[in-house]
Amino acid sequence: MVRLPREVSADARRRRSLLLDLVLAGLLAALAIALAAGIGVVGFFAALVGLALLVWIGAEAGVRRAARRFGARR
Amino acid sequence: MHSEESERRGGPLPRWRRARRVVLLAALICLVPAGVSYVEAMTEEHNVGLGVSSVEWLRQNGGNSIVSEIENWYYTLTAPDKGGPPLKALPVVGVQAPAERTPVRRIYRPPRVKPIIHPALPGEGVWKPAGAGAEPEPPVLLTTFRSDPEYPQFVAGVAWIDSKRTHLAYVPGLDEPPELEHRGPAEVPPALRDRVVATFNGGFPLETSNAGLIYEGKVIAPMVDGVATVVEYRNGTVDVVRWFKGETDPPHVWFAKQNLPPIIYEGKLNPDLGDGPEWGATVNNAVRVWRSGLGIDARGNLLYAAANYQTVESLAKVLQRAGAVRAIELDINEDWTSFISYRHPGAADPANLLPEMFRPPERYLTPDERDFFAVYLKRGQRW
Repeated sequence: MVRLPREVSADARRRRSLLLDLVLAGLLAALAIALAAGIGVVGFFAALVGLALLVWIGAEAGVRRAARRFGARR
Repeated sequence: MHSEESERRGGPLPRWRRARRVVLLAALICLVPAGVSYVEAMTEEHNVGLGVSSVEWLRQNGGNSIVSEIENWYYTLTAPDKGGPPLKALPVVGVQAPAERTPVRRIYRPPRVKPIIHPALPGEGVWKPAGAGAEPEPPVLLTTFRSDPEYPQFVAGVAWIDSKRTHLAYVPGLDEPPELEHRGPAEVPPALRDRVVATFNGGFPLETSNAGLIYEGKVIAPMVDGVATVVEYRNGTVDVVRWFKGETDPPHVWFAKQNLPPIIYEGKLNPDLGDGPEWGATVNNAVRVWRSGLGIDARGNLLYAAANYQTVESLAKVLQRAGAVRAIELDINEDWTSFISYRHPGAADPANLLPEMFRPPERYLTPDERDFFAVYLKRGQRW
């Protein structure tokens, strides 16, 4: 029996991609923990990387919001 | 803006954004076990601040080289300038000795440490008893002197410990050494406080010292040949030696604490006091920090020295000038360097060797993280 291709909603596609990213992140974390000299090093670099990425994402969102507000005024 | 539009329309995220999301999620996942370990460590008993405990946690969990690298940068950036206005007085150490009385018998006193900088300041290099009422034969003598002509504001503190009247004990701390069956109280035991005359810091933690440890006659960490060792034999004799007895415990050794290569050996400075892996996983030898060391003079008496802004070489020169013929470097950094003398019996009126020592004089009267040495009057010796 052959199934016809289903229409996948945008939300479902997003959820699937998030799940896949979570699995990849888990594998990456496991690799980092296995290879590092200790959990302290892992925590130190994870905190640095996490902080840097959160600042990046936050700054990006801020710029986008400001651009939108600026565009709406014009 | 192409990717933003695609996102807004519910389209797939661009690749670089997904990669960023994966890395962020991985970092957050990594923080879970690290956070659990950190919180567990911080909720244990400590007598140091959160900052120092956090650094120690990082050191103990594989981050030693990171900490050392950051420390090297910090101490290099904050290195003191040469010169500066001359000191007018030295810190007061010990107690005022009573007027000399005719001694009943000849009592050995170490010779005054000859001042390096002239004119000498009042009391520079002159030994004073550490405890009140300890005359005519004080078990511990203290002095200070300016140890480096290029840095005339630096003052080194030195203690001389009479090996005939005292015995040395190695006391494990709460965390150091890490593997130990019978740890003990990690402080000067209350039952022994009537006889304690001084306490001072131990050496580097085992994981950074490239060295071994024998405690109560048992090997806790395999001994390493060629490494400087504070050793106490079962007959109570103490020595500072270069270890050449192999990994196991010789039957006559009660404790042996190793730390790095000797800084003085057979009366001479170690010719290799520069940086190298044999000096442990810590700040470089030429970095000026609080450093401490323990030596032994030609008569078998112990000499402890500590000062801020010391390199390994300048510390070795302090000990050599004070009369040490063999010496070992002990702990470094302000958080770990302590020499405390007790002016009265019962561990009463404790005082740091140098007033700028960071840890309080009561440090070893409460459980401490690190291992340390306690100096007790031998049985039958009066205070």
